[in-house]
Amino acid sequence: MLHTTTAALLLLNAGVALWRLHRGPTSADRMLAAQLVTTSSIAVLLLLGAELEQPALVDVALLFGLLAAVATANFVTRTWTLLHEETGSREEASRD
Amino acid sequence: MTEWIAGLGPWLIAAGTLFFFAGSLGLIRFPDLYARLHALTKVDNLGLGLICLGLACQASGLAAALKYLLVWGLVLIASSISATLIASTAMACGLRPHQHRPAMRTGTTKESHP
Amino acid sequence: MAVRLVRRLALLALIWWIISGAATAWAWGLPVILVTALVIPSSGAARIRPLALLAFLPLTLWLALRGGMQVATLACTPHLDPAIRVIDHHWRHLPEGPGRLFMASLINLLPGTLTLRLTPDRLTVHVLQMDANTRPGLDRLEARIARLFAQDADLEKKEPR
Repeated sequence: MLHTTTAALLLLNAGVALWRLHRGPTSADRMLAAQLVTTSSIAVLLLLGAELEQPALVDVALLFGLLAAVATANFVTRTWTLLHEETGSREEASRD
Repeated sequence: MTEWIAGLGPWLIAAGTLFFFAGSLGLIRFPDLYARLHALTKVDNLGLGLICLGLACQASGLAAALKYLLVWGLVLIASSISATLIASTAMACGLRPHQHRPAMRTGTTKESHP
Repeated sequence: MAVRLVRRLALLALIWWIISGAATAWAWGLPVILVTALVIPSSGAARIRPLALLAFLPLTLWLALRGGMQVATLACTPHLDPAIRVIDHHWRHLPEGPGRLFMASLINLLPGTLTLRLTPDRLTVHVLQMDANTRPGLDRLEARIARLFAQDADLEKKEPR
């Protein structure tokens, strides 16, 4: 029971991150919100896995942890660099 | 002894949930990307760690308990490295950290901007 | 070399044991462990002395706990006014290599510090709540990590000084 309540609270908490996702100013801020959702979902998976006695959910959480690292690395090396190249000249002009 | 440890579990899980709340509060309130990174890497991982510890206290066997800790360790390594990745890329993209009391800036950052 | 291989095999076997849930999956596990141990490139982590790591872990966990609590209380204070600074930490003890990467990643978990840039002569650190203890703390941490990564030969060389 405690586990289910905690999992529900954590989902609610991850919903708060959606505000940052919407607000954002930079794409990295949105990435942070996505990371918060990932961490919360790992915790939710672990809690539900203990509550429902489904050990396989722990493996899913382990996989989520691996994917989070890959996602950030991919974001930094490809997406953001592309964004920077596209908007770099505009930002340079508007900074002063 | 085992019952005592299992009784500790719910408290650790509750404390971990509180840290998750503080983490998203930081994510919303902190002034810039770098400060938000602090909130995310430290507070949320501590929250996840406490929840993992709490679950490990209630786990049926040693291997199951260690598996929870393995999940935590993996997330810890991943997020601490990705924090540096994001921060250094943000610096390279020219995002200046928001600093307290701008009058002091020339004194404290003269080394970092030669 | 042989010692390193045995150590790696033991570590992989432990991880397999944890992942498979202490079950009977060794028929699959043994080949996987053997192939992985031979294939993965040797990383800088292999140079960490295991006993020193055991002594290092509790301190790290304690610092990570304090770091989390500090940022959490900061996030909960009504009038948010953190003393944010960007400081440079010049390398003193650690040689070029895996030790520096280890420290740069570890710093992200410790109270109020975040690595911004890693260069050959210094580490640019973002400090959330600057106080008098920050710089000495970084120095102490670097000295500790240097001891963690030092080979025995290096230790003997350095100790007379």
